Amino acid sequence: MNDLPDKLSRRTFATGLLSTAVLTAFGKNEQKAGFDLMKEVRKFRKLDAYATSVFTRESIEQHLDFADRYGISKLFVANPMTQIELTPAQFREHNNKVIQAVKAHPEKLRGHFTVNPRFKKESLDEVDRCLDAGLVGTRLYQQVKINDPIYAPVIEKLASRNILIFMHGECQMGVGGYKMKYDARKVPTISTPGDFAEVAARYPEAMFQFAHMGGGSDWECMCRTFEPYPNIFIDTGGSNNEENMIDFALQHLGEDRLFFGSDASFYQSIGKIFASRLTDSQKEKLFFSNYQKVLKKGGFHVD
Amino acid sequence: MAKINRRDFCTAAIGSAFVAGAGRLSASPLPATPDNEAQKAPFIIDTNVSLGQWPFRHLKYQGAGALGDKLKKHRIKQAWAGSFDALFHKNIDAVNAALTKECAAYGRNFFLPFGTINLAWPDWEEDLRRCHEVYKMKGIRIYPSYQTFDLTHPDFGKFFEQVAKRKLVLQIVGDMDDSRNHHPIVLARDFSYAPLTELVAKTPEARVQLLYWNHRVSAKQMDLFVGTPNIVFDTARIETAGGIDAMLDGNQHHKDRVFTFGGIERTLSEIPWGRNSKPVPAERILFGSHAPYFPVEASLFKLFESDLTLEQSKSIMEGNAAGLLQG
Amino acid sequence: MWIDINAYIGHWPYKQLHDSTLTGLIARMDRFGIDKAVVAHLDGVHFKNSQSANEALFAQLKSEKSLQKRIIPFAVINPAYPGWEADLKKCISNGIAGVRLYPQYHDYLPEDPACVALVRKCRDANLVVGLTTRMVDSRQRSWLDLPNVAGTEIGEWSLRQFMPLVREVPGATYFFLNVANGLAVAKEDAALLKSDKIIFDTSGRSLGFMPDLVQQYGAGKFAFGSHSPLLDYVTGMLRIESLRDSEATRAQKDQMRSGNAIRLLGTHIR
Repeated sequence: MNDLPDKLSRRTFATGLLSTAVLTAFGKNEQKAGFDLMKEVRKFRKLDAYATSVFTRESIEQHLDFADRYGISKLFVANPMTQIELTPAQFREHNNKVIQAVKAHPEKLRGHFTVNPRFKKESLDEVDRCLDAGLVGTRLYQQVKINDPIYAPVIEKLASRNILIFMHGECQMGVGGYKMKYDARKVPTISTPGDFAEVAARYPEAMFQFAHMGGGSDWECMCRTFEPYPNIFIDTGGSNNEENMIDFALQHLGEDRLFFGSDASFYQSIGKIFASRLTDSQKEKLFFSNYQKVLKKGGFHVD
Repeated sequence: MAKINRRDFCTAAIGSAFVAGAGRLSASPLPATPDNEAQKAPFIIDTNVSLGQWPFRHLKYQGAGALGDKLKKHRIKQAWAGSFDALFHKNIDAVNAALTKECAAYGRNFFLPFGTINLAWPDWEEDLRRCHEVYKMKGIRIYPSYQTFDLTHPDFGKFFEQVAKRKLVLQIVGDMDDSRNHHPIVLARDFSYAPLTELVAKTPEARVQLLYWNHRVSAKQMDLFVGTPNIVFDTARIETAGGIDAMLDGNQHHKDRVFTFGGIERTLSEIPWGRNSKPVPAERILFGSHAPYFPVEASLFKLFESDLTLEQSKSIMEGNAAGLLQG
Repeated sequence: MWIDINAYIGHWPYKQLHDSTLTGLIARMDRFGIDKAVVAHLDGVHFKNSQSANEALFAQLKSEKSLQKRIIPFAVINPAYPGWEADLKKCISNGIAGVRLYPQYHDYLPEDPACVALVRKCRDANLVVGLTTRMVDSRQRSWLDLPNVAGTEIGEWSLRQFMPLVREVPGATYFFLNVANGLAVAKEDAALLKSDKIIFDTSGRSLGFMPDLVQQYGAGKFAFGSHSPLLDYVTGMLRIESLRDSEATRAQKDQMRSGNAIRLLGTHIR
């Protein structure tokens, strides 16, 4: 199987309907009858870059079960999913849950922390506290848009420590400023791909992860928006598993900017990868190496 | 000046080849060995056809193979093709690439692909660049009633300028089908062509063609467009017998006619559809069939039923389109 | 043996699909070792006159005779359109095993009399009725697709909207496809869903944790379905294949791979 080039920029991809050549290369990856799905699935070492946001005992147990079932080495978990204001007391409490869960399952869980940049000093202090407690990255949510200047001190601090800035994003009509005439009645501060693009251009030294390609958002719009920004990564998490989603992401973002993430939708997140035309080496990168490489920049990689 | 009407069309003035193409519209191919008269007869450039998939109905001549073969039977030598998929897909570049491929596969430069741009999508400038530089397109076709942007979009002026700078023809589609016939889930939107007058004034090198425009151009607006020479019109939805004649003579025979719309009687200047009172020069009208959604024969009949001179016919059938492409 | 009870060929108006032809589907089936597929023509979902899509499917099957043993055709019938009874008859004569209904796209309600009449005819003709709760996730849909958008006043449909139909014709055989927005129905309808003539395909989001679902509903309630080429081809398989031996016996997995489909499609399978 011929691997694709390391990076397919949109412009180079466009020349003369190059897609034909790419698809021809994909076509050599035909699977014959007698396909053993679970053998294929378990062949790859995996890091789940977007594991649970729910910290009930049942949720953690189910995630550990899935990790065992699919051969996932580490689950990166966090507790940001809340509609509340997220005061310093609240984000500390949420992060404490993560710290405790990681302590309880050190062999499987790695933790992300959340902050609310409206509380600047407390947020910056919380970054230090969480790093000291062994957490390894962020899971930011929708209290403030990522390109809001309020975020600057937090982003600058995280970037200086080479910490991946992972934030919830949506690309749904009627959300966060995207085609609001279809108002989906969500808070206006949800970050859209356009918001990520803006902040990525402003901080080219920072690394961003947009959660989540399968989160119900328009993934074609998302991939095309991110194409010119090499410091935006994207994970495969979420319940949506449309045919061609992964191949489309590969075509537009290249093979180095994709992470495996489940967002608790393990069937869809894994299924769509094995339905794609990714080569084994591209799958290996997606499931493990890409994320490991980014973690390594901050010294947070797994053994 | 020589006039050409349907009778002439079907007898001597244009010749037997045209009769084969028009008089016996749906049945017969062109004669294998055309006579001298036929060789002199003009060909047609159809400026408004679509490839791709119309989602709501099976169309008899859908796809390049079926449509191209059909159009050729009617002496059409070139067709400017958009894609039905352009109305509905969000990832427009994939549509443009597929359209280019389909046109090329049919061969002989019969179909000229007209790609589309959706301003409501990220990176439309790259899509435009690709249409021009990669797919080598001669024009862009947009569908504001389906694509959720209109001529007041903040980027429209920039888009308009860039299209003109690249020397591309800009086709703006008013409608694809009669709104009374829409599929129940379709939410096609209203929009106005009005901003064009100012845009064209600012960008004199622009070349704009309105397709299936008639239901979105009021009589008053039409008169304004008549004074804007680089806006031209297709024939796809010109209705009523003698519709083309009426455009040419500024509806002089309809000045006192009372039109009834929705039970309300209105004079010419009050009707909402494109009934101009100023004459539209024949140089501003281009044959466009909207096939395969409309039967190509319908547009051919419109032409033949009209009281046109030979020169006017030739212009509408071929010359104006060729001129528009050349710029 | 594997049977996919939820596949399509054809176009989807809002997105470029890949390998959405009959040969494309067969190639996909071969790649993943799938023996047979229940197939409807996707064009019928948006055609008002869905019969032309059915005829396109039949024509393709006739021209590709070697594929006939692998494809189990379903028709898309629009009971809100004139002539549907005649369409159904023609489709039966073309060997369909069932119909798929799209009330939202064809603008009627499942409990409308014509729909009920259609399902009664299907029951009497031993045809399966396929009901799809959603074609795509509304959050990422095209602006021209259905107005039902999750989170807005008119949200997506779930099983609940189909229950009045099941109540009217409880003896029919139903495939519930791409089930989303939960498996819950009103208390008085729950017993109806227990019918052994109702199964769910494995493509839907609502099938969240299969070990629990198999325990709760039994392996007889599920059958492999892909909702391809709109959804990927593997997720529906993974829901079955990743069950541990302690969660589903080999016989139970075989039921879900094809046994349940064979049981309900019966003699329609060649």
